[in-house]
Amino acid sequence: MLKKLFGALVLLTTVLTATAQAPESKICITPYLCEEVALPQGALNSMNNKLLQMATQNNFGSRSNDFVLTVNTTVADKQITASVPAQYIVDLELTFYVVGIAEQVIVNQTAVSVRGIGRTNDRAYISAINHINPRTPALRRFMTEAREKIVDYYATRVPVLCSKAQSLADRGEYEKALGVLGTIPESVEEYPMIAEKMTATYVQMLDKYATVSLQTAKSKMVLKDYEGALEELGYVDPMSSRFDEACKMVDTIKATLDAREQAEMAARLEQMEMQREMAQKMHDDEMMMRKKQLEASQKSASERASAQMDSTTNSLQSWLFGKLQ
Amino acid sequence: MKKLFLILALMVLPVAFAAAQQRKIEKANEQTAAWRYDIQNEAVGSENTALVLVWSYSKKVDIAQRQATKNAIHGLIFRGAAANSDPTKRTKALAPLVASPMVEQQYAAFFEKFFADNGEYARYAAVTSAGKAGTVMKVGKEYKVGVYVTVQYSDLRKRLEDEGIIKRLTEVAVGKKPSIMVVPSDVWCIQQGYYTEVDNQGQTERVPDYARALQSDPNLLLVISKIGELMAERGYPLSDLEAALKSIREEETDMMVLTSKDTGSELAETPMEQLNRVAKADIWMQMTWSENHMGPRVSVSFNLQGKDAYTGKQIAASSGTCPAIFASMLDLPVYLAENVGANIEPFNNQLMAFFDDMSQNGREVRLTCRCWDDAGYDFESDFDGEELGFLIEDVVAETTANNKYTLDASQNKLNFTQVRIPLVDERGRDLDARRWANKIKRMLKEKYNLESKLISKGLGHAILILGGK
Repeated sequence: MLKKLFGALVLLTTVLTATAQAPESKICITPYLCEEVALPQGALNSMNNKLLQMATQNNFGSRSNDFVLTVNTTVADKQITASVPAQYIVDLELTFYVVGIAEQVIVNQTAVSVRGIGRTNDRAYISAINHINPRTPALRRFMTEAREKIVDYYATRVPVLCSKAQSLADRGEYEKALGVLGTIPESVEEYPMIAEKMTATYVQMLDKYATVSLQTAKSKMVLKDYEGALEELGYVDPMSSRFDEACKMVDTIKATLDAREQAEMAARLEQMEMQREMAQKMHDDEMMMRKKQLEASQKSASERASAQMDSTTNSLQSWLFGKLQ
Repeated sequence: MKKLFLILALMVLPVAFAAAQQRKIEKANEQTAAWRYDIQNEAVGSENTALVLVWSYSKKVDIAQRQATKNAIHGLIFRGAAANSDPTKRTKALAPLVASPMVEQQYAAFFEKFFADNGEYARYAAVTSAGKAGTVMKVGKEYKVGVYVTVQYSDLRKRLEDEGIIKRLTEVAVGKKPSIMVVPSDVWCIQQGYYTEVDNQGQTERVPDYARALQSDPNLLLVISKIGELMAERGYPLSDLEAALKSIREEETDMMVLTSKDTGSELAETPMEQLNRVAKADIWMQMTWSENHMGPRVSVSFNLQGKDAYTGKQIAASSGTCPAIFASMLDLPVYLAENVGANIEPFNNQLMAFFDDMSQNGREVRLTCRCWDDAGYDFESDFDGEELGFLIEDVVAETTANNKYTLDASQNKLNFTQVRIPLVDERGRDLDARRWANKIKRMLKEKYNLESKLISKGLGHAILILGGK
């Protein structure tokens, strides 16, 4: 009994811990290296890998389009020795940024100095980049601070963004309103409320389009352009609240089309019946004529056959039996 | 009577003739013993032969001609040959093989036998042409006769080296033997296109690419090989550039793959050690050549410079322009190698002079003293009532071979140049810059408890950084 109680307690704790997961852990930062960064071609891959390591080794393994980890490089000093072969020494100052793409805001930044030595220019740069340790206290602190700053930032920004979105929606600029609400990352605590708001705004947008479609369809119905009206009604999104109204209009059009179709069908059927009777009559007349032709020919043939039979019997008698005798 | 007279004549004539010949030879030897001649360098041939024009003075033309080969050998050993002023021939003066004219008296017995009639000297010389028009001139009561003589210069030098009259390069006491390496000069690499262009913070720099030069230019390999061959003949094999570059790459590979079996650790390497992973030599022989086209003919100019890697001083050089030939006949690698080989002797002589100077006056080294920026003191800080810079200078002065040096001093840097250190220390071990600078390091530690780091850059340059390791 005690064991079962203990097990249940552990399970409960686990569940609670899982559900009480801090919002920071949901934040995703995507490593991204701009092509314009001042690095030789051979060093770009190394830098890319290093950014990826920084993200994954600091628990930012997911990808998102909201926040990006990037870097800018500055050559602090470069020397080329006069030895055989020449040795390249490069001092780089790397400035790492975490930026919010949607709002174009720098969330956090830090600078790291590294030095590389190599037999070629590219090797020196690669050597310098390889000296970056993603797990140093400075870089770990940088990434942790970025996470915290993102959470704090949106904690203060959410009411402002919601008001802005509402204002846009009220003016009928639903897409802009959705864009504003879309900048709020999923990791924010109030995100469920934001999600509902986005849904509501989206439905409002759909209703607006639906209203336009319904009006157009009605106009076309007046002009008896039922196909056109049906096409317009097809644009009404099922998620719109006016979808039922659109469906009713479709039924109406269908009913109208059905009645007309029925009348057309009856007329067509009658015509077909008449054509069939005429064809039958013609067929019967022809049959009659053929029958009479056949009877006449048969009579003629039998008369001829009986005449022939007599001739044959006579020939046989005279030739065969004549010889046999 | 007539018979008797005839017999007497037949007996006396041969004797008289022999006596006359003997008198001629004696007279020739008398005049040769005075060594009255002028000698001029006409050309340096392949396989290290020298063509000289010897002007001998005598009252008899035939005596002068006879003694020309002896005069040629004597001149090249003791006096050298003057340069040819004819601009089309472009020959330089040849220095004498021996360092001092007193050598003739020091080795009088050898030279008496060497220059005797039918002596050994004749093996090293041959008359090329004698009695040509314009080579016999009447000067006062005697004749000045010019004779072209070809001398086996290298063989003559080797003979004198074997006899101990001339020292070999390797016999000069220089302590730790300096290494020599032939490299193409930066100018040559850039002219031939063997370089990489690098944008160094707004300035475009051209960095010689030695590996590509060695892989792409067979002429370079041939020239390096020829110079190496000639130096090896002198008993001084050179370090090979191609082998050095390959060795560096091998070392880099080892650094990458070697790991500890127990812990998986990689090899430790500081940035300074990485920076020092380059070809090293104490003397660089920089080679440059270029073709000069003059119509259908072409000549090749070359320049061979020997530079001390630590002091930057030029210690030997040889340059020249090979005689012009038709471009269609030019086989550059062979032609260049021949002419470089023919002109290596002046270079070797200067190198010998450098080694002699080192042997007599000590090795010239450089010492650079610096401070770490967290040392807490500098060379103007006081220790025992005296500035640290002066204390170090005192130790340097005490330990140099001749108390002579040049010092460039500032708050954070002391740069000692032209310092001469003994070739061996008190225990008879060969001394280089590192071991010599260690004395200063020990003094700083023992007397003032100052830690320092000593970095060695070859035989001739040491860096001492104060303030910790």
